[in-house]
Amino acid sequence: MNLASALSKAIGKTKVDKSTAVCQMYAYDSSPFMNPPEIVVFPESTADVSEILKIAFKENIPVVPRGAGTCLSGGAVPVRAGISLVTTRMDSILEIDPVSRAALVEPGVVNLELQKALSPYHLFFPPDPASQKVATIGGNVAECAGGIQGVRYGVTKNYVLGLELVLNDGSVVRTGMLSPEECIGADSTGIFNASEGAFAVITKILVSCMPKPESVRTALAAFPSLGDAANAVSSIIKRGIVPTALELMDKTLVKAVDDFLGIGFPAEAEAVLLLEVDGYEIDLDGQLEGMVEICKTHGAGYVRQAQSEDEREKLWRARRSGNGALGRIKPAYVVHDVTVRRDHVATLLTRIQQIGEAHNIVIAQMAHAGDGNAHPHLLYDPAEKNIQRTLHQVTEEIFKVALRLGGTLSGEHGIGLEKKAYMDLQFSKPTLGFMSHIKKSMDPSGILNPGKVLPDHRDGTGTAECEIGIASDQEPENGRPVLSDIDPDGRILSFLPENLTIQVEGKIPLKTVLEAAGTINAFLPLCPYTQGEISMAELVETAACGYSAMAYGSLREYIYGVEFFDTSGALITAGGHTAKNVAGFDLTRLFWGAGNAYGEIKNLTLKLLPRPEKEMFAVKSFSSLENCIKTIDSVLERNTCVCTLKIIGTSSEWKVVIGLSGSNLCVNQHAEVIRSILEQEKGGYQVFEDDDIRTFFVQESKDREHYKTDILYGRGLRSPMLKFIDKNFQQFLNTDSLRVEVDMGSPEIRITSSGDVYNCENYSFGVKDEPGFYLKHSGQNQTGGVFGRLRGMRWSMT
Amino acid sequence: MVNDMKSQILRCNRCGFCQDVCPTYDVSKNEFDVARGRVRMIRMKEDGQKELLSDKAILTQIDQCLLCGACAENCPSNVPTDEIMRLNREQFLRKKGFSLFHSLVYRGGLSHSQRLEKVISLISRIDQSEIRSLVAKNSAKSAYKLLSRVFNFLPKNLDEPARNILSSRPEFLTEKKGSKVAYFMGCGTNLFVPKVALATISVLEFLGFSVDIPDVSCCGGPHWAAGDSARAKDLARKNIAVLHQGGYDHILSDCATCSHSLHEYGSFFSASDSVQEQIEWIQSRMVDINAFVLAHIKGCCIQSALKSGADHYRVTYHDPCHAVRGFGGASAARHLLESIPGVELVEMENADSCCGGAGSYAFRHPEISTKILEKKIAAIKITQASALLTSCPSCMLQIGSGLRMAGMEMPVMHPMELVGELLTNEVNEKI
Repeated sequence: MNLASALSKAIGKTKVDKSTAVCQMYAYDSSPFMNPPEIVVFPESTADVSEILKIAFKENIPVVPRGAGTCLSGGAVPVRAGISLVTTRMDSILEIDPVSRAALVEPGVVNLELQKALSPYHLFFPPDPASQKVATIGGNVAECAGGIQGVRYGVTKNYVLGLELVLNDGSVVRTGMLSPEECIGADSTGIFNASEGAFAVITKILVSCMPKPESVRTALAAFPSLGDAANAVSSIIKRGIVPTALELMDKTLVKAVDDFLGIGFPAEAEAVLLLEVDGYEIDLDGQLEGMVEICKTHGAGYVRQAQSEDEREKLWRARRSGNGALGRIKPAYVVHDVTVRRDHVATLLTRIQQIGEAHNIVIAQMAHAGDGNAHPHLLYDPAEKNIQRTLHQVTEEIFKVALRLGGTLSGEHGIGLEKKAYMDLQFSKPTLGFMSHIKKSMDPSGILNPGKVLPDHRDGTGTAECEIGIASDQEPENGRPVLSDIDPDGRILSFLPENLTIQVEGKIPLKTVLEAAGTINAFLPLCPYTQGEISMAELVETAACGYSAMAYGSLREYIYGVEFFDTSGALITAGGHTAKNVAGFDLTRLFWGAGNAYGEIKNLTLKLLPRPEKEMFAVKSFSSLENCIKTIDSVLERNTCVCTLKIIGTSSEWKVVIGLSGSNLCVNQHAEVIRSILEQEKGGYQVFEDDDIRTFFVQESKDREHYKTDILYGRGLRSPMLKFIDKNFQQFLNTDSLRVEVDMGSPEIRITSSGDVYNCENYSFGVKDEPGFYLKHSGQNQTGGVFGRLRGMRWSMT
Repeated sequence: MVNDMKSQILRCNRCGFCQDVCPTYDVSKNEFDVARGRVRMIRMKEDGQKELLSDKAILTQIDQCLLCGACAENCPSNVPTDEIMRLNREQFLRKKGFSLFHSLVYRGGLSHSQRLEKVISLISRIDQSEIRSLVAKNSAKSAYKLLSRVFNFLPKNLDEPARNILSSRPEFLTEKKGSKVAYFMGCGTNLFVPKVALATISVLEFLGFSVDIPDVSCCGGPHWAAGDSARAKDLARKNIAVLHQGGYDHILSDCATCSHSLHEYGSFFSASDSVQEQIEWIQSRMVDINAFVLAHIKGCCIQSALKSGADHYRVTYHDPCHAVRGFGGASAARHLLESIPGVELVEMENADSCCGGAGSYAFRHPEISTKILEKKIAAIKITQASALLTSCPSCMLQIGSGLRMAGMEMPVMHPMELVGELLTNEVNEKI
């Protein structure tokens, strides 16, 4: 039976098309690459995708998953023909849970459609790539899409709670909060972000959403040079303001846009910065004033604040029209997305300008400057002589400049076909080897989106030996570090207030990191309950989460880079110093809750947060868990600056902890809201401000005589989420019959509720100085700890 | 022209933003049915990669485009995909000759209004006979499917053509006073929604205009879209001559397609053609019907007459492609409706997206057309409006058939009918 009839038989002939014409329509995406598949399939369900992969696996035929086909790096182009698997018909929004602030969607749902569906609930999905009108959520996850608001809200991976995936052989697995089996242990969701379809086909996505900001302020500032504009950006970040957008446009771009729209930008400006802050109305004027003042000290002569929604829209239209308006200068362009530390943006942009001048290529620059993400547009006319060669040279020089500055090849467009030849410039041989090892273990026969991401010699399709890259240039004189170099005490390696990052050795105690961050009034959303010396590496390996998880999520969202020794002792580099980084497979989350299964963490690069002006906590006792949950639901219904929601329970008493964090004005205002909620139930409550709450938690953990229930609500980890996962788990919340049975002699832990038993084989039990019971994986070579996590709920005992 | 097309095609950088607005992509989710794919296909053809593609595939692809223009309007690189599709239809027609459908409908019916009248009256008679129920019973069979679509498309109990009604009621055409208005009565209004014609005339006369109904032919718009530019030009020349001779102060039509075609006559002919001068004369006298009525209602005391519509009336408005992306008038129609006391205008989602009618498209591609229509009907249903208003007979027929298929008894009206009805009530009350 031929392929078409096999597929038709398996999923129905209306979902299969092998006509030349249709195949030609799937030969391209938004990149310059083109090659048709031999057949196109339009699955409508997970079962369809599974059937397709079963056939492809058996027949060894490449499968290229794609959504809207708006990839800029060629990710959706089938280099070796095969099957183009189009997810656009899997476009249902399966569920929106406004209280949990989460949505379960199929991969073909268009980003903007999700935004529209969330809008009535006053929620939004923060990733906002320029293509959001058509790009699908599946594609957003596969490429880890960024966008304009990245500086404040991060990238797609920060909002993926769980995935349903079809593996190379057609088997269906669920990860993260979508997985009923994986209730304790490593969360494998991380590795699928930005995997460009090379590991599995995504069939369902559980995303977390954010409450729509109450208000927004927008302004535009014009600067005498690119460098001044970029420096203003790092000063703003250093000041502790986290804007929603800091968009930079150079003179070329500004002029093209002004020709098009007639905004009336000052003609003498070399660069303009579009600034936006969102949040609570009460805070915004102050933040905007701060930003304007910084712009002025950096030489901005012209600053205009949008006075109306119309004016704001006009400024944004100017920004969004950038790409289109460039057609006024040259008919075609190549756009890159190199990303560097914020404090290196000025250097990067200036160097790129010089490269363009040296090669006589007009480069129009646009940058998401707030997260170091440059978008140089190389303008050209395809009819120009030798233009392709010049473009290649300019591209390579831009990449090298970015990498020498410690940046990355790609912030948000992906590697795909476009940049895979440059991967050797960024990554060392062992790192590329590690990536290709993961690829091989996920997809040994190489049928899933083959020929992407990894350079040809790593992909088995080519034999070229890798060229010596930048990664090797930086090799220290005394050779590469080895396992025995790990400092048992841990040191701070670099501390960059302008970039709000800190690079530390894995063994460094959390306490030391917090002290350092404190010197610039920054922090990590974690706190040591005791004076324990728990290290950063352990916190990562045990998937640690601070009590302020509602506002800040877990430590996972703060890992920019990890360097580790793999089991062979080779040093592997994952990530870097930037929020946006999609060069190669994302190894930064491998260690998340996975103990040392993959090796030994050497260094970590972490994002720091500006410390809020004020924190305020209320603790109230209740007679039942139901009342606790009712109170928490009331809090969740209101849009407040809530940072902590926690339930602590013993057999006789339940306590709810509610925390607020933000500016003085904002916390005071929202404290009234919380007060009114708490006063609906009889009984008083205690109030703690700032660090006093730690004393409370420390005392609380000492007081425990019997094991207790300790439920921590986190971003996207709220308990009502449980209904997405497993109806049985919901009963945990509704009954007091939860039992955790631990047999010290066996590696088995049983968690029971109403007779349903959850077996967690291969884990053994230990006690750490952090509250929460500590699980050890008893498998071979796995001596690290796995913190007990039940979808954001932690069962504590002492 | 062809070189120009090539440079337009080259401008497409495959960003894919057309997926957001393309009605055919919306129902198929297949790249074959979106502007990016269509432009890609034409580029391959122009690049000489034709051996990869059959003529049939190309023809299907260019024919499945609605020419609604939404992609062109939303394209960051300004690629006029609708115009590219039309030009290619023209090329194919020249090369391959007319299809049976084209010969019958465009060259046969639409080119000769009297012939068309006879055919429609025949269909309408069949429709009311027992054949209809026979067709309904057998609608699963494909030949009957098309026929049943045709029956469904036509309004039930079709009136006599407007021109016939008007000729037997000469009082409409007698009294001549005020400035001279040419009412360009299109084939669609005349044959399928004659009540709109009567309403338009009565509104214009109520406003004090001297309404003339010139003996015009089909506007040529359908032919132009189908790539039959030769016949489109013939028809245009006839109409230009008739209108120009009339010496009118204003030229108006209640059909968005006719208005758009008339206004676009200039692009039918070369810039040096002597007819351009007359076209300019016509264009300078054309106003969107809703804008025209709105301006004159505001201008005189008649607005008080409209006050009688005090009953609360919830309506929603569908934008014809040829208005919202053609001759204009999207906001005038809304302002006109909102100016009627008691009328509440509720916007439907994607009011400006094509209803899938697109002239004969509904019969050439009944499946796609019906799916697009279903989305439109769903959007209308959500508004809970008691009437659907739109300014194009073709949209009125398509949406009317969609409402019938969905079992919804919602009147489909032209704004002129709503205004006309209220004015007439007022006059009757005064009497």
